[in-house]
Amino acid sequence: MAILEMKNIHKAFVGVPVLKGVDLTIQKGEVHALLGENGAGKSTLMNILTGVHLMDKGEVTFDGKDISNCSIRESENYGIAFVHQELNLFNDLRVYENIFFNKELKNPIGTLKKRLMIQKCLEVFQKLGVEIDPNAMVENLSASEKQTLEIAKAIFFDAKLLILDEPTTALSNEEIDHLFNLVENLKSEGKSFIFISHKMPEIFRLADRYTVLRNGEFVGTGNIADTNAEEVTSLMVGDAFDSSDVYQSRQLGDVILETQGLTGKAFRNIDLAVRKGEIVAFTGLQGAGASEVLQCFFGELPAFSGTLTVDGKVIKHNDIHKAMKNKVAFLPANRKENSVLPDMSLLENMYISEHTLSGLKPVINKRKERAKYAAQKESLSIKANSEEDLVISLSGGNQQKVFFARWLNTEADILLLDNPTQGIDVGAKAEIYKLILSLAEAGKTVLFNSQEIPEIMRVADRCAVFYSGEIVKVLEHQDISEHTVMLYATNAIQAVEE
Amino acid sequence: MSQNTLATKRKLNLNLGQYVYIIIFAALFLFYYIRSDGLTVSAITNILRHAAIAGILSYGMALIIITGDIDLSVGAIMCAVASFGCVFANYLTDKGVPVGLGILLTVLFCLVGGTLLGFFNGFMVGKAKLPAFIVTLATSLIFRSVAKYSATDDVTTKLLRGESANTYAMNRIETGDGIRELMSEFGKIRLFSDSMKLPILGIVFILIGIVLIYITTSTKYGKRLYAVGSNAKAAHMAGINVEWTRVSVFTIAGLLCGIAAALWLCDKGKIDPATAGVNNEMYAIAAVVLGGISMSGGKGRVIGVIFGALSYTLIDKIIIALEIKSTLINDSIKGLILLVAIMIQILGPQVKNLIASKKAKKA
Repeated sequence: MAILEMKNIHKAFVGVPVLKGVDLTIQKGEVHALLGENGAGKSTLMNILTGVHLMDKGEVTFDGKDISNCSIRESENYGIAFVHQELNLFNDLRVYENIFFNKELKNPIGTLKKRLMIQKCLEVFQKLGVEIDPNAMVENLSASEKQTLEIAKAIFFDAKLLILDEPTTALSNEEIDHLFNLVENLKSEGKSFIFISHKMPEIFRLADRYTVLRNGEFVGTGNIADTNAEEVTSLMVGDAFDSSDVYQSRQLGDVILETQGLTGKAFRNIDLAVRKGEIVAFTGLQGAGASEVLQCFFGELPAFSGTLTVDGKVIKHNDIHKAMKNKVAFLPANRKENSVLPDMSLLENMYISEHTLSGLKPVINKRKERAKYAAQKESLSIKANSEEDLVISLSGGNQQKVFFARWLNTEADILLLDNPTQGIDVGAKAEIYKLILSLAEAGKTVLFNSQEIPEIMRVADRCAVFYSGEIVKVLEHQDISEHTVMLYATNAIQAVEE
Repeated sequence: MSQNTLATKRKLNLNLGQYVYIIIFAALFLFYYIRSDGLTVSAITNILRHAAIAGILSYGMALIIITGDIDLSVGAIMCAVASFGCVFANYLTDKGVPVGLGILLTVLFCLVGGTLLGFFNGFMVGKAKLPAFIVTLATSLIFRSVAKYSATDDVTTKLLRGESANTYAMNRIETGDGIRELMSEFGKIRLFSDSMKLPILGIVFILIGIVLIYITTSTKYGKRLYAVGSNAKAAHMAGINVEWTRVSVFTIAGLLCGIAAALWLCDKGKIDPATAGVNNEMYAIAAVVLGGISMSGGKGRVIGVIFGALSYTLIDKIIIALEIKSTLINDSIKGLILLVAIMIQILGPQVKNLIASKKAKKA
C-alpha cells in the first residue's frame, strides 16, 4: 500500500523550472532512496512535500488524504518529519526540552511538567533502544546522538514518514551502523523513509527502492535488488556531457608541488606530484576532504604527518604567510565569508594581500597601485566603473575576478582555487575557466576543487577524486567523465565489486 | 536621468551622510559664537587646548573601533600612568637627577608605561582571543584601583606622592626650576603669541591627528586595520596577521594614553586618581561615533574624530556661556547630541531610501 503519492509535480522559481512533472511513490514500511546530482530537484521536491514551498501543479496524497500545498505545521501533523542535514536542534537546551520544544507539557498556571516530560522521553528512548540522557545538554551530544535525537523527536510525535537528508555525512562507520539498525527497526514497525544520499554503498545496503531525478525531471524508479550501482549512476548523470571545449594539452614543467603521505584532520595519505603549468582538479562529495587538502597547502589547516614540498623546499610548520612567500595563493570557497572585505574599495580589496608581502615598504604608492589595478582589470576583463567603488557593488562573477586579481597581484606561481565558480552565473563561469586555462598557459600551476564535473572535463589535465579523506583515483584528462568520476566519488566501485 | 548624473547624485548623498560631524561641529560653533558675544581668538584656540587630552584618548579608541574591537580602559591607563609618573618624577627630584634629564625620563616613563599597559590589553584580546569588552573592563578596574590604592600613606611615602592626601603631585622645588615647574612652563606655551595664540597642547593634539590620518589613509598598516574590522576571516585568508594587528592597535592606543598622561602632567602637575579620566572612555567612544566611525568596524575616518572631540569640548564651553548654575547637566546634552548624530547617520539613509522608493513607485 502506498503511503505517499506525489504525481506530476511542477515547480518554477522566478520563471526557471526546477521540477518538470516529477512522480514519487513511497510504500508503507520501505526505505526509498531519492537520487540525483546536486541541483536535480531533490530538495525542492522535499520542500514541497513538507510545506516549505508551494507547487505550481501536481497532487500529493498522503495516507489516503489529499495534502497538496499544505503548510509546514499541517505536514507535521499528518506525520511527515524532515530530518535535515544541518540538524534543527537547540544546542543550549537539554535533550527533553528539544523534544518538547513548542509542545511543552504545562500545568494550569503555565509552569512546565519537567518530570513528566523526562519520563516520556525515557519511555521512547527505551523503545527505540537509544541511550541518551534526557537531561543532557544537546551541545554535549555527538553528531550521531544528535541525529538519533532528531529521529526520536519525529517518532515521539508519531511520524509515519521520515525524510533523512544525507544523514551520514557527519558520522563515523560505527555510528552509521547504529543509525541503520535504528532505521531497520522502525521500518519493521511500519514506518517509511525517504533516504537522500550520494553514497552508493549505503544506498545499496539500506534502501528497498529508488527514484532518480535529473535536471528536475523524473528519470526512473525501481527495486534496488533489480539494479546495480553502475546503472543507477548512469541514470543520475544521463548522456555524456558534450565537451567540445577549449582544452589543449600543454608542455608541462618540472614537479613544483609534491606531497607524500600527507595526513590531516579531514584527509589521509595524500600522495600527489603536480608539475609546473599543470591544472589539477580535486573533486569528491561534500566533506570528502578535497577542500581541506587545499587549505593545508596554504597553511590554513595543519598536517599531522607526511611531507609537503613546494618548489623543491620541504615545508614545515606551514602558515599562510609562509605559503604566500613560497608563491602559493589560495582563493577560498564561500566568497562572502572568506574573501570579501565589504567596507573596502575594489582597489583596496585587490592590493591588500600583496601588501602583506611588501610590508617593509610601509607607504602605499597610490599611482602604482592604480596602474596595477588597471592592468588586472584589463586582463581579467573586470566590469566595474571606478576603482573606488565598494567591492560589494559588483556581481558575484566580477567580485571573484577581483579576488583572482588579488592573488595574481602577489605574483604567486601556484594557485589553489576552492570552488571558484561558486554562486556565479553560467557566463561568468565560462570566463573563469577560460581564465584558468590561460593562466596555466602562462606557466602558473592551478589546483582547483570543484564538484561540477562538466567544468572539470573542460579544463583539467588530471582529476583527483576524493572519497572520505583519501584520493581514490587520479584520472587523466581523456578519462575524466561524469560517469567515472561519480563511480569513484560515491565509492560505487566498491559496491560494484562487492 | 543619465547614468552619470545619477552616479554623482548618489555620491553626494553618500558624502553628506559621512560628514555629519562637520555639520554638528559647525552648528555647535555657531551657537557658541552667538551666545558669547565678543568671542576672542584666544577663546577659540583654547577649545583646542581643552579638547587635547580627551581627544588623544579618542584617537586610540578610533583605531581600535576601526578594527572592530573596543577599549574601556583608556581613561584608567591615562590615570594610572600619570599617577605613577608623578611618583617617578618625585623620585628623580629626590635623587637629584638634573632637571632636563628628569623631564625626559618622566615623559619616557609615561610613554613606555602606557605602551606596556596597552600591549597587555592587546595580548589578551589578540593572542589569547578574549573578548575586548571584558578584558578592558577588567583592566580598567585594575589600573584605576591600583592608582587609588597607592595614593595612601601605607603604600607610598608622602615624599614620593607629593603634598596632599589621596592624590599625587609633582613636588615643587624652592628655586622654581624643577621638573614640575618646567613641564608646566611647557604646558603654558602659546605659539604665534600676538593675534593667534595657539596652545601647545592643542598643537600636539592636531599633530598626532595628522600623523594618524596619514597612517590610516596612506599606509599598508592603516589599510590592514580596516580590513580586519571589515571582515576578520577574509583578512586572515588574504594573508593579514589578524592576531598581531589586534595586539598592535591596542599597543598604539596605550602609547596614546601615555602621551595624554604626559600632557596631563604638563597641564596640571598633579592628579587625583579617583576623578582623573573617569568616564573618559565613554567620551572617547562618543567622540569616535560622532566622528562617523562605525561601531561594527571597518568604516570611518580619523579626521572625524578630531571634530567629534572638538564638538564635545564646545558643549562644555556653551554650557559655561549659558551661565547654567550647575555643569552637571553637561552629560545629558552630550548624550542628546550623540543620539541625534547617530540617528542622522543610521536613519538618514533609510529615510532617503524610503523617499526614493516612494518616488519610484509614483513614476
